[in-house]
Parts: sequence; C-alpha cells; structure tokens
Amino acid sequence: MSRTILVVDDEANVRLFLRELFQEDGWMVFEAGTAKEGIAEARKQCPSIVLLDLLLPDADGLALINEFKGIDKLTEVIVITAVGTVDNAVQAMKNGAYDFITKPFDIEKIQAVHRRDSILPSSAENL
Amino acid sequence: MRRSKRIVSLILFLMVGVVFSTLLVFDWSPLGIDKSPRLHESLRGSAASAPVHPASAEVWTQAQVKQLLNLVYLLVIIILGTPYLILLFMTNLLKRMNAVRQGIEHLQVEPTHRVHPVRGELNNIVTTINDLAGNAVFFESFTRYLLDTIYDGVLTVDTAGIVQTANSQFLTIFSTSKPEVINRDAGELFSGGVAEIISDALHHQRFHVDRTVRWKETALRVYSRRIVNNDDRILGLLFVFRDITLMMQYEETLRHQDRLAALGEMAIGVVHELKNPFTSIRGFLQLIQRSVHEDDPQYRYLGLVHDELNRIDSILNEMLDYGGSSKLSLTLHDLRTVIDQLVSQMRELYPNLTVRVNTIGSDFTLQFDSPKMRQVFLNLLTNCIEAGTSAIDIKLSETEREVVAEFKDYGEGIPEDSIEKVFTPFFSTKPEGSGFGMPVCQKIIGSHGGTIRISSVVRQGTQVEVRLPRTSGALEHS
Repeated sequence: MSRTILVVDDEANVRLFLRELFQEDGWMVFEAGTAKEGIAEARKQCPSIVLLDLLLPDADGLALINEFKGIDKLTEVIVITAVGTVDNAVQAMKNGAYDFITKPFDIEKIQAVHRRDSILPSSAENL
Repeated sequence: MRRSKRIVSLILFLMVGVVFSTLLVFDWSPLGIDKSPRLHESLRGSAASAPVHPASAEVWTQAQVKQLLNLVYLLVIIILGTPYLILLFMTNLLKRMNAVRQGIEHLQVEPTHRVHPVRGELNNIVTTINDLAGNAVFFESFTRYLLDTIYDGVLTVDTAGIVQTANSQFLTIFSTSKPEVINRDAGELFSGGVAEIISDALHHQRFHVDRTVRWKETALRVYSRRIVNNDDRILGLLFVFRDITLMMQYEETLRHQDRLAALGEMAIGVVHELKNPFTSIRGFLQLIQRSVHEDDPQYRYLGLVHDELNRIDSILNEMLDYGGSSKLSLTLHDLRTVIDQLVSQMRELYPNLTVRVNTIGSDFTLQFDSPKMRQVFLNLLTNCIEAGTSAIDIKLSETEREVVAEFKDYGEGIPEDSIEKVFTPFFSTKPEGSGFGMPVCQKIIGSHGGTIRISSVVRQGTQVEVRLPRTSGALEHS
C-alpha cells in the first residue's frame, strides 16, 4: 500500500518543497496548482492525505474540504494557509479538516503531521 | 380742562335748579305739583275768584308761604344733592380707572397677568388691553420657545451692538447666562474669532456665512446677517453659532478609521503575497540546514538566516493581526482571570520582574473576545518589559458601566513627540518593533467599544489605560 499525498497549492515552490520533504519520507506525491486540478487529481489517485491551501486562484479552500472528503471519505484534508486566523482554523475544522497548519511551516511540524498520519492508511485498512 | 368742564356742568345744573324753583314759586308749574286751594279755585273757573287774584298778589297767604318753603326745601335738596351725586359718580369712576391703571402696571411687570374686569363701559377698554397683552405674550413666548428649540446658538444685537436676544443653545455653547449677556455690549463679551465676526458685522458691515471659528475647546460654524424690516430699515444683527466640535471629531475619527482600514487591507495583501515565497525560502533553508553538519561554519550562518526569517515572520503575523478580521466572538468572561493567567506566565518567564495586581471592586465579568483581549494585554505587558522596567503595576477597577485596566511600568518612557504616533501602524519606538503592537491593541479595544489611552514620562515610565464598557457585548448582539 503506497502512501499518497496530494499537494494543492498555487505556489510552485511551496509544492516543490513539500514534494521533497514527503518523498524523502517515502510518500508518493501528487501536485495541483488549482482547485479544479486538485479535484481531478484526487478522483484519479484517491490520496490518503490532501494538503490544501486555503487561497486558491479558482476557489476558496474552505469550501473544498467537503469535496475531497466526498471523493474518498478516508482522505484526510490538512489545511495549509498563510492566513492563520482563529476564524479560519475553526471554520476549517468544522468543515472536516484533519489539521490546520500555518505558513511558513517548520519541517518538524509537517513531518509530525504526516508521520502521525502515516498510521492512517494502515488503521483505515484495519477497519 | 376736565375739571373746568365739570364745574361748568355743575353751574348749569344749579341754574336749572334755580329756574325750576322760580317757576314753582310763581305758580307756573308745568309739573302740577302745586296742590294749593287757590289753584283748585281757578280750575273750577268761579267768577268770585277773580277779585281775589290781585289781593293774593299783594298778600301772602299761609298756604303760599308753606308752598314757598316747600320749594326752598326742594331747592336746597337739589343744590346739595346734585354735587353729592356727582361726587359719588366721579369717585366710583376714578376707582375703576385706578383699578385698570394698576392692572396695566402689573401687566407691564408680569406679561401673563390680566387686568381685572370692571363695571360699565370701561370694561371694553379692559377687554381690549387684555386681548392685546395676550397676543404680545403669545408672540413673545412663542418666539422664545422657537429660539430655544433651535439647535444652533442664536444671538441678536441692536444697531449699537447691545445684546437683545440670546437663546438657550447660545448660553450653553458659551457657558454663560442671560443676565451676563442681555443688554451688554456684544463687542466686549467675546474675544478671538467670535469677537472678530461681531466686529465685522457691527463696524464694517461685513457678514459671514459658514465661517469656522474656535471658542475655547469648541469649534463653531458661524453666520451673521442683518435683521431688516419691510422698509429695509436695519433693526439689528443676527448671529448663528453651530457647535461642530463633535462633527469634526467624528470626521477626524472616520478619516482615521478609513486610513487604518486601508492600511489594514494593504497589510493583509502584503502578508499574503509575502507568505508564499517566504514559506518556500524557509522550507528550502531548513532542507539545506539538514544537509549541513553542525561543525560547518555555514551551519551557523544558516541558523542566523533562519532567525532573521523568524523575525520577518513575526512582523508579518502582527500585520495580519492588525489587518485581519475585526469580527469578535463575544462571550462572558472574567477579565481578571485573563490578566491573572498572563501575570503568572510573566512571573514564570521573568523571575526578576515584580508584577503587582491591585483590584478595586469585584465584578470584572463582561462580554469580550477572550483570545483577542489576551493578545491586547500580552502586547501591553510585552511593551512594559521591553521598556526595561523592573516592576509592573496593574490596576483593575470597575463601575456599573465599565471595567478599567491600567498598566504602569517604570521603564524608559516614550518621548512626548512620539506618544501620539504609537497607535499609527509601522511606527515603533523600539529598534526591533514592528509598529503593530499598539495599533492592534487599539483596534481590538475599539471593536469592543472601549478606549485605550497612553501617557508617558521619559525615564519615569509609561501608563496605559484600557476602558471597556459593559454594554459592548449587548450592542454587538443587538
């Protein structure tokens, strides 16, 4: 079982950094620069984690959380945002996000999240 | 004149009396009051009576004497009675006239008074006077009420500059009283811009429209005009003063808020744009850092770059706080709990720091956004510490209407010319300050309906006072 992650962020360099980081840990990383691409990619790959930027050129990330959850309910959506306000965080969690990380992120923090999440696919398989 | 007329009429009256008496005496009475037997005889027309006639002319019979006496009595009564009657009538008339006169005098002193009705024709005069007085009072009081209802201060002076009217709003604006201004020279009552406007109108026939002047702390918009009657005769001058202090303050506040809102929006835009490249920079830096060994001198450089990036990040976050949503999630909290928590954290972080909390009152619960309020107090406490203080005094007090928190430090203080700017974004007295700490505090306190004030003395310390109304929550929800 491959651990797959989809990074949805319009910043190519942010995607690149996340790809490097996750690949290092043995994840299969997919990327999308827009919400539309992200949804299409999620349908194709059914990733275990979606790293979702809230500010996308074509959609509000908060509204997308449900869409990703709708494609595969086992997919965990982790919101990454430059606007780390409490309102946003609360709203993201209410919409079903697994976690909320503000930019810029520390490697340790990201790794903590995906390492914790790496248990997810196996635990999901146990269900 | 009137007296001589009276005498003439009296004499006339007496003459009439005398004539009547004479007529009666010589038996030519047309009144038929003569009841003498001689008369009866003559009426019977007996011939025997004829020779009696000449004799009676010469010899006064007893009956004739009696008749004469009767007439004399009558005459005396008429002569004495007539003046008495006249006197009686005149006294009565004078009495009524006097009552009317007194009524008019009273009316002059007290315009609402009415002259008491009197008997007779004279009452027509009383009714007319009362009607006229009623109209005058109505117009005078109506004018006064009308003037007092006007929101602007109204002052009228006569052509010599003597104050004639000052309405209540005028008295309020200039904090004076009627006796202090009425019948006084308007030119001497005022100074500065107000005096100038009055002098312009009085002496130079120069009138102003919407001129703004200052009177002590008050900003006034003034206009002056002539008061003219139908024949274009100048009756006096009119000055109207509108207190625009509050309006100007509102305008200033609005301008300030607009500026801040624009700055806030810009801050958010800037932060958004910077955060993404910043995320990549820091991310890749961390990746490089991992591949460099700790002994490598470059490891230290990378560490410095990392620290500096963190500093940028904290500035960006403060900008975000400032420009971010001002939406409050209000819940009922105890302000003292928030402060107590922060104080214990401070004591832990800075063991050498003395923090004293003094509370006056007991009820510090009110509606506020707890995380935001926490940030305000954290910013204020951080400022105290960064000012190099060894002690912080916090005073919490409360009234029915508000809760007040005061923070006092004994640090280096803020110079006078900088104190006004501390609420301006990007302005900082600290070398490493972002200039967003106090603006964020002001924004948060302002959105709670409260006020924040700062005062400082260089090398003595700074004091910040936060006032939070208890009603802000209610207002927000309504």
